Amino acid sequence: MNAIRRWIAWGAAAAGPAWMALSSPAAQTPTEVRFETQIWPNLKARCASCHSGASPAAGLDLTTKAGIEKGGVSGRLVKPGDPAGSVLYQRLTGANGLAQMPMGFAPLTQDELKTVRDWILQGGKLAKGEWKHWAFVAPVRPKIPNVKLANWVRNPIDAFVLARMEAAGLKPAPTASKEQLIRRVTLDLIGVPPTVEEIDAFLNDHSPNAYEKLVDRLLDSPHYGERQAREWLDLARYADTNGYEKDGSRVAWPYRDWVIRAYNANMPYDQFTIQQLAGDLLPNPTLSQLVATGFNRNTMKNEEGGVDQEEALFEVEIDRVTTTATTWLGVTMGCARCHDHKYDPFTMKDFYSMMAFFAHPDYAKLGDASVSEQKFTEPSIQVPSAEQSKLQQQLESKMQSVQKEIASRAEQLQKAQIEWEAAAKNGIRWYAVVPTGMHSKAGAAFQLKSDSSIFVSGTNPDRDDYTIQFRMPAKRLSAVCIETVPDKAFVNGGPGRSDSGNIVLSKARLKVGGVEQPIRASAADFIQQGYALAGVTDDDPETGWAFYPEVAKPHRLILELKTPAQAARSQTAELVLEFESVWKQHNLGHFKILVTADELARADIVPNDIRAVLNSPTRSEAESQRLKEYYKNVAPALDELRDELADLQAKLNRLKASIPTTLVMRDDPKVQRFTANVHTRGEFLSKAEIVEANVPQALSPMPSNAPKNRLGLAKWLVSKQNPLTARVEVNRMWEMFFGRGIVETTENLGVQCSPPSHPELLDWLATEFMQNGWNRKAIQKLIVMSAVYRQDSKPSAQALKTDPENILLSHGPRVRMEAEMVRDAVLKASGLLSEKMFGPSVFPYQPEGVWDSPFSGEKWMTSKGEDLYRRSLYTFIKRTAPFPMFTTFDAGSRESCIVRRVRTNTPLQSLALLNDQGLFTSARALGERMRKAAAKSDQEGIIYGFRACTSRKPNAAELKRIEDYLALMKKQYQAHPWDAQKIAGDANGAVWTMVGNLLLNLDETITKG
Amino acid sequence: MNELRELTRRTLLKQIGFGVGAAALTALLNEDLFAQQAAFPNFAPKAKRIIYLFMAGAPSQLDLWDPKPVLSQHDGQDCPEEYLKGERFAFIKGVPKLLASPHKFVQAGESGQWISTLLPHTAEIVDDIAVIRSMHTDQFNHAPAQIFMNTGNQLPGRPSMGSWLTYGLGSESRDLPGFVVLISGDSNPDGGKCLWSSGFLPSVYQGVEFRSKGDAVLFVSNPDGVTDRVRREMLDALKELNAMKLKETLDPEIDTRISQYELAYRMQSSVPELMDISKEPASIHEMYGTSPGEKSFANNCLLARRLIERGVRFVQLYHRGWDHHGTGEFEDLTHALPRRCKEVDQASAALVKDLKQRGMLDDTIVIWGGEFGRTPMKEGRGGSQLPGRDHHPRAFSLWMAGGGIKGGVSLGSTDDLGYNVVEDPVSVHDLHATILHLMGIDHTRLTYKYLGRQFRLTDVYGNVVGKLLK
Repeated sequence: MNAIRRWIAWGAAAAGPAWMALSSPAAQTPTEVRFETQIWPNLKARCASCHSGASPAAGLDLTTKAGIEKGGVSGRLVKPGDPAGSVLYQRLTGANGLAQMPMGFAPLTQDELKTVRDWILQGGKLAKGEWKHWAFVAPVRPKIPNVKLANWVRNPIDAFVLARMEAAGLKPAPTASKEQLIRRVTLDLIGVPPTVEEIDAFLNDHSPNAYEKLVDRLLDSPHYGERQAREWLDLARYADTNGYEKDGSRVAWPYRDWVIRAYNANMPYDQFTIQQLAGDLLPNPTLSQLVATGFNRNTMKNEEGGVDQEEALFEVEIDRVTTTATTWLGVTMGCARCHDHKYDPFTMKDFYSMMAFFAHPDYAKLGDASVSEQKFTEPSIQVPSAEQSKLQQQLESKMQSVQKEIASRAEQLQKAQIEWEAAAKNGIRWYAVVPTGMHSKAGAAFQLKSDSSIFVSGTNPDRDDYTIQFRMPAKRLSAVCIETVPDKAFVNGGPGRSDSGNIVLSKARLKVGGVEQPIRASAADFIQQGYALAGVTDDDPETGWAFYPEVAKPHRLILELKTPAQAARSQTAELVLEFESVWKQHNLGHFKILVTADELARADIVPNDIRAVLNSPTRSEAESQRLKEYYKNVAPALDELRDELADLQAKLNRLKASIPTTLVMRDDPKVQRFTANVHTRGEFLSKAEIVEANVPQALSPMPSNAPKNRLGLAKWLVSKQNPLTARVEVNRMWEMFFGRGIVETTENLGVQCSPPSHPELLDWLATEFMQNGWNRKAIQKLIVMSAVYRQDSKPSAQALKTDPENILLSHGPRVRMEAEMVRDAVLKASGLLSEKMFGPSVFPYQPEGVWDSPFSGEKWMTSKGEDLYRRSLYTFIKRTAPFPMFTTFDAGSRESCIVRRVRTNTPLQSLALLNDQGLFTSARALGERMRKAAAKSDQEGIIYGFRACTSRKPNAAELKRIEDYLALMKKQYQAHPWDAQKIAGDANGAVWTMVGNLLLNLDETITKG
Repeated sequence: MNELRELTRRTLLKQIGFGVGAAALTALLNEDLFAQQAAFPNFAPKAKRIIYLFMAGAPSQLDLWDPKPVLSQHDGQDCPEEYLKGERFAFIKGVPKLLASPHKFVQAGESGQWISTLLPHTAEIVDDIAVIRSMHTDQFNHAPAQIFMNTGNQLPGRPSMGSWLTYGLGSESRDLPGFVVLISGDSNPDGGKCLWSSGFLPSVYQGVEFRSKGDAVLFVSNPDGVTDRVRREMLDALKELNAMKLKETLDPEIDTRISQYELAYRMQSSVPELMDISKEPASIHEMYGTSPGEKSFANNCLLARRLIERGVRFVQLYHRGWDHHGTGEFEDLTHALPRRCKEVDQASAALVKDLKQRGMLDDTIVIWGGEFGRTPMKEGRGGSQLPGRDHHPRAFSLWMAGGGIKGGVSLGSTDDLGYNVVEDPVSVHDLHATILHLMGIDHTRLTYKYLGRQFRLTDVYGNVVGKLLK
């Protein structure tokens, strides 16, 4: 790993497979320095941030062959044979008192400088032809190499790997034990360790194809999809919240379930790609194909107050481009957002041409701009069960018939309308009441002002109920009106005692002579967005009457008795006003109560435009029609039908709320041609030229018949000419099994990637993948059936010395499990793991206080029953506060696309495994299992637990050490029964729990080896 | 086992626990992959550690640090159009009115620095602090601006400053994380936990949140009924069993895991000891305004001092609730701002004084500030009459003290209205470059290769602000 080497294929000069141009590190002698592979990548990495683009520093462009040949303002870079006289060498060494390059960064090392010097001494020649990075040339199926140890080879994978081992003088490790094999392959394919029973069955199966039968069983397991999906969901940045400050919840789990199902069905990778990127553009898409498009709806969404929503959407589109490029092409398109890519052949124009595919989403503005900011919302669809669909149809058809009924009855209301018009014109006679009693549940003080208004002061609790009593002003009471009085005593001059001057009247009730009167909130002159009058008489404290931002104006709310009350004047009426919403102190602070005996009290509140029609001496046909339409909505004769309709609507709303929804992609239907602006420096506000949707120019072109939309993009990605898609996916699959990709930087196969350890194998697998119809299970079966995969994980002495990172794969992999697998393995070993699949995300044990978002009042509601022990991929993912045990074990926050997780080994991981309540519960459960298995002897219990955790039997020394520990624990908990009580009820339970705790903390328990 | 330990790079990288930084370590070991990186520090550092008091929500510079008499004269007048052309605001619509500060400023200390009367305790330390009045940022919404302030980029995913520093320099503590986060105020800051994420750096460099309720560090307490003695016996057995496996597999990861369990065990006693401030003398409690067991900014300030005393490299305090728009008394300049100032003033000043009296201020940097500034104009959302200001990225103030920073100075200035910076502008990248410089790091050299390129905290920007340095 001396100088950083890159692998360059010579597109023009290459004869035969691209790999032929590669030379292995060992084959390169220091006397033959190649600029393109040994110097150029380094210069690009270190110098191109200035020396590139339209106006490169000093006129020198180091990113193209032409630029290097031309040199800069100081002339040509190289004087062949004379390093000291060559500008390149002078500047890199800082000779002649000039600033040393790269300016502002660390200089090249002595070794690197020597390489430059050697190259110049050798004549400083550049290779002929076009320089093209290997990964941008379509793979050609390489020949399977010949090897000496031919009988070790089980399939072509082995030949490729063995060839490199033999070249390096390494021998493959022996085949792993059956116990090691079943553990490894079970973890790899379904993500949990095998049970003791499964291990025994495999050990007892002596048929020659026992291993293959095992592999087939695992590939067919429904849990296969759960294991595979975890990695994909990191790429798809799938989460259950929107991210950023507000970080509200979203429902997207039907997409997560789609991924699991697709893997289980072994959906070919080309279909898998097309459906996720463009399922909505397929002819007559199925519900499932629409759900698949959730891939690119997993972007974050910034709903913070004051965010420029157009800009937020722009960022979403940017993320769709970069994530799509990383996921399928394994390149970092994001660099080209602001400038042409420094290393890879992607221009800014390429970037925005790609973005054009995503630049016209169908979106709606949400909310009323006059009240608050509007937010953008993209489409979501309902994913109902069959039963839910049926119920919905029933409700909708009932609603239709009620609506019809309303329409037909409305035709017979002429007479009533004339009466209503008269009432509206003449006005309603209201009388202000003088209360005989005023009471606040919380103890606020009431003051009756000279104008009969009521002023509230004193204690101002978060919630309050007022009871106002008054005598019947006449023998008849048909309606009550609450009139708010704006008052400078309150915030914003409002009538409310809240920090905004607003109120929320969540319920009003009326009694006359002690008898509850059914009432209807029939009119108000202003209602805050999101509130409706029906809420004033229902039982939901969050619905009701409010009037932000119009707090500083007087408002009226009319409550009509459904049947006017007839009572003696001496009788007492009692009005109860409840302020019980979540909004603190939204209590009314200054108001009047008015009453009337007149009918049609609601006619007193009429919108200005209708009032104008009423008052006009003449009426046009259109005006008459408008009046009629308006009346339909206030006609008392239709009250009950309207109530029925509202009730059906509420039922429908509740049903709809219970139907899962999911986020889907949809383009603006009005847009025919997909274009995007280039944005100078990547800034939202700096719009430059408009470009058409297209794929990067340096890669294979789009098929001529492919539509220039997401569907065309998806088809191009999975076309056989695309040099990257298959390589990227097989490389990621390889990493799943071996802990390291053939190209270690699985996230980047561009020019700056790490060199492939087995380039021919990568291309063989990529071509195999395309030839076999993009069949993932088939590739995975090849891998796990290979001799390479089946090796013992113990390195030979020589491997330790010459290949300590096991790049040449002379022994099996041994890596710590990823976060979710650690938890799943612990649950599985303890017998707690639930087999339940799919559905809404769950909330397993999490320490209190992890969720403390500034805005969303959402709480972590710990799940019940088996949902506590579901596979980890069903755990609710909150982006700003991810599940702590997962982050401790290197899982990301799903805020952006992550291909490769760094694997660390930290004390916080130790603490989690020792003490996390969820994991300690598993220790108790495992303890219980061992106690049962220990019916005959403690040894048997220990062995059972050890096998459940590590998939093998303990050796004598291990067994002895655990027995000693068990004895110590027995002594401890017999002496301290109170401690035992806290752990597991009794001493024996505590002892076995602590043995469980020990076994679950073994390095081996959380390692795939 | 020692031979084994030297076998692989990954062991060495992971051997560190919370110890030496990987960048420093790999450089020391002349590791090829990082060969271009010099050892850290690159030069003699002025400071060894940092306490960053992050005022999430963005305190108003015009009411605390940057007095504007001309603005006061024009109170209530329309904001001149030249300022509004092409500007975007979070909430202001139409032509807003200029808003004078409802609070008074005084000159304090020998240096005579201007400071609001809302910060009487901070006024006592003005001779030790440098007020930067010319900060500016690109972001005008809280979450992106906080992420930018902490990671140098507005989108989540990059390592935070504390992660970069511990990656480069490591921690001087044997049994505490190098980067610790403490939170007080209404709730977590707007940007969420990515503010102290290690991004693409290994997670060992992420900020560890020390909580005021429950376990200070997640999972640090043994389950009920598991005594220290039981834990020790369990760990002894675990160590021996893991060692047997190590001998068999020769996998150095196991060796690392064994040491991490030992470190975890030490944390089980060092963390509770650290968090227990009850044994601090009464004079200290009086100075900070602390009372043991409370979730308060004051307690966190005292904890910050205790953490750096124990070798922690970077301590960051978040105090949320500075977003004074004026839509209600809970977030305006006349009611809410004074309350918030009261919560932090005494303890912030006490921290600086305490460090000074212990001789630690010389090599500890203290930073106080938010993510952006506030407008010279009144926001008046929904017709609100209460004084409040909208988000303002073009100019804001922040103070620094100790660790090679000049005391008693104000750097930079804004125009008469406090709208734009007119002298010595300091960008977020400049601030980062300066902080790294004080820690002995050339900000262009602290890099990490990811997605095919070298990343820096300062991206491709940043200049050290020489005028701030002693």
